[in-house]
Amino acid sequence: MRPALVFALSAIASLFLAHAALAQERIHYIAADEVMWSYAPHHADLIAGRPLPPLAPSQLGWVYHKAIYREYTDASFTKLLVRAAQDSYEGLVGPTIHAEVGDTVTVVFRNNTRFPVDIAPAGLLSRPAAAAVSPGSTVTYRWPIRAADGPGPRDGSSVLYTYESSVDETKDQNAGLIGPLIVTRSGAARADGSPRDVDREIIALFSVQAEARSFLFPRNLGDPSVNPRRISAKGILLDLSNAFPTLNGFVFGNMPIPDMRRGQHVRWYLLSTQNDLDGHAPTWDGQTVISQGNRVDTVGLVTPHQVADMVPDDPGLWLVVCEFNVHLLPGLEARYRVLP
Amino acid sequence: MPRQLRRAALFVALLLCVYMSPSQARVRTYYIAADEVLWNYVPSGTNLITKSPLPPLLPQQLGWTFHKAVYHEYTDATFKHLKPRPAADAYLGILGPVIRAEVGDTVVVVFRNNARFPMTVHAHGLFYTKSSEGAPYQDGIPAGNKPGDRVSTGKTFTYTWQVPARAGPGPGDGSSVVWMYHSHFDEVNDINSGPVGPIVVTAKGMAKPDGSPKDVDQEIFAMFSEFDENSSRYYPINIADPKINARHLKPGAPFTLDDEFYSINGLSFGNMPTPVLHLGQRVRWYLMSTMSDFDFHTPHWHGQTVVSNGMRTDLVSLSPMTMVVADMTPDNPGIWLFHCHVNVHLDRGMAARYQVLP
Ligand SMILES: [Cu+2]
Ligand SMILES: [Cu+2]
Repeated sequence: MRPALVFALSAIASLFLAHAALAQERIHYIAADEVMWSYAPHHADLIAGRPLPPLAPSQLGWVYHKAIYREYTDASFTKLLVRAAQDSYEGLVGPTIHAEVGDTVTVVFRNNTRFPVDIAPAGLLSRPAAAAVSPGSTVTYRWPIRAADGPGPRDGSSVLYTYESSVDETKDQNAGLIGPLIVTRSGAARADGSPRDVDREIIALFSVQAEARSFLFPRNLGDPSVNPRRISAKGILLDLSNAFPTLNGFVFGNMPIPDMRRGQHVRWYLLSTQNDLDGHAPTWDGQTVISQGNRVDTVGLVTPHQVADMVPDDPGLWLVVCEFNVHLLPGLEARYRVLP
Repeated sequence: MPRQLRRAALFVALLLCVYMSPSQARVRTYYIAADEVLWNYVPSGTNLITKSPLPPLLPQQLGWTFHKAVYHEYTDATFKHLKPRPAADAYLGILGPVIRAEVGDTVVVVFRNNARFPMTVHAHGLFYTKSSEGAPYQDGIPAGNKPGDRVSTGKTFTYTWQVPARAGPGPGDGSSVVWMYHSHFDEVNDINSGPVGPIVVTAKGMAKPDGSPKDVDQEIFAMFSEFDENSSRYYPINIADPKINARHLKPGAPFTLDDEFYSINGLSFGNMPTPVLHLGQRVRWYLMSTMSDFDFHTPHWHGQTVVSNGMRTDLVSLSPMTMVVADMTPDNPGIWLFHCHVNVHLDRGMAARYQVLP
């Protein structure tokens, strides 16, 4: 009886220890950096195979000063963590943070911009608060990932949140400060936190980047390399003329083409900013997806995040676009490739 | 039972087995043309919901009738005889013929373009190779290898689409799902010109011989659409035609909303013929939307509830080009309102009625 009890106790203890050992602290060194961003680095409409449309009356151009989240190798913030070539399509979007339920995400955040910004997850149960980080400062945040942050009964093995700057949500998101936070069900994650049953994760940020509402807009107006036509701040069309409906910060097929293989389990994480010009309908040519249990090829993205699962079966180069024509016509279109 | 009779019965049973076998994949062929028509959004000339006159024409509104192109079904490849639409389906309005398939089938659409502009047929959800995609863009394939991407006036092209499991119901769906097909030569302007229709795919083993789901008594199709006549390929023709543009309006400012028609199946202000349902029957509603500036809709039924995506509701929401299924078992006889709850849409006529017979 006694050895049995000892065995039972040690078994329980080892289970507990094993579980405690599984919960990880996931550390990311993320800075808000100012960059020159081109919405159309190829200077062409790669979908229709023709030149870009002419500039709108009050459009500064196709290149703007923006602020984006970028990941560094350590707390010295001297070396950028280089994004893998197969992820180059992620463009403007901040680094992907993966966590398994039970983990703690630690973000060492450096503000390299000249404006007060921060980094905060949207939607997590613990609602971690963030206060404006002054330019040049570094702050460490800890985000506990609780069970209720993980997948619900009708979700797959992982769910999507966003992190973003919350000092002035409108101005910060239009500057470009947003990224994905993926939470995997307890026991369903690989060592890196990604879901084991998914072969390829695709990040797709559908966003109308309204440059006239970015905190960098005064700087863009005053920079002759961005604003060679010296458009003045008074134009009534300024707001719409400088709004870019983008996929990962690209228009008119300029997004690098993500690859996937036939038969892979591909999970699309669909993010959106929450401007009044947002509200998207992502759609895929060539394949279907499962979204919320339903078989569809178009997803209503009126909330900031949705997940859609695809098992590609039709090889080729296919469109992924927003079906909202006021976004599609001004360039919210990209391509993805299914390899045989 | 006499031996002979028993043998006959067995034979019939075997025949039935072969005939009803769910694994028997079919090729379902449709003869569909894009035909030019004069389309009236309000054929009665009145608001049938309120029994009152239509609102006065807006400053830049040409009228209520426009040149459009719609998909019509024909009996065969001669494209001489229209396949008549049963009176009970008159409410389908501007929608093209319902294309049906069971998982495992092949759909063949023999398409004749009788319209003056190049048109195509592009299917959502089904499996197609690049030659049957019906959508031209830079996809690495030379244009000459994709004849389905551009069907010129008077020409015929045959599209072949497979129906694998991924085109049928997902784990949270019922026995059938809905997709759309539409012209995708110049996507936005084509759809506003009118050629669009529904596809129903039934789970393997769940289809009647005609492809419709066994566990459903009646299917209703409703496309919520903001038809933007400014973006129709027929806009220049409509502007120039004094029958359409009786007030001789000049082309409006680019952002005028006066020629946008908020319609269900292309009909506004209750002008959609009233579909008739029966108490206690299993009725499946297939809801769709198109892709204009404001194609976010909230279809709402008065009088009954539905189950959509596992949830009981009386209102579902549609984003541009989304397709949603809602199941209803009517328990409340009468003539009931079925409309969009977005204010500006309702004000501009996005309302119809349906009837439940006792
Ligand atoms: Cu959009
Ligand atoms: Cu509506």
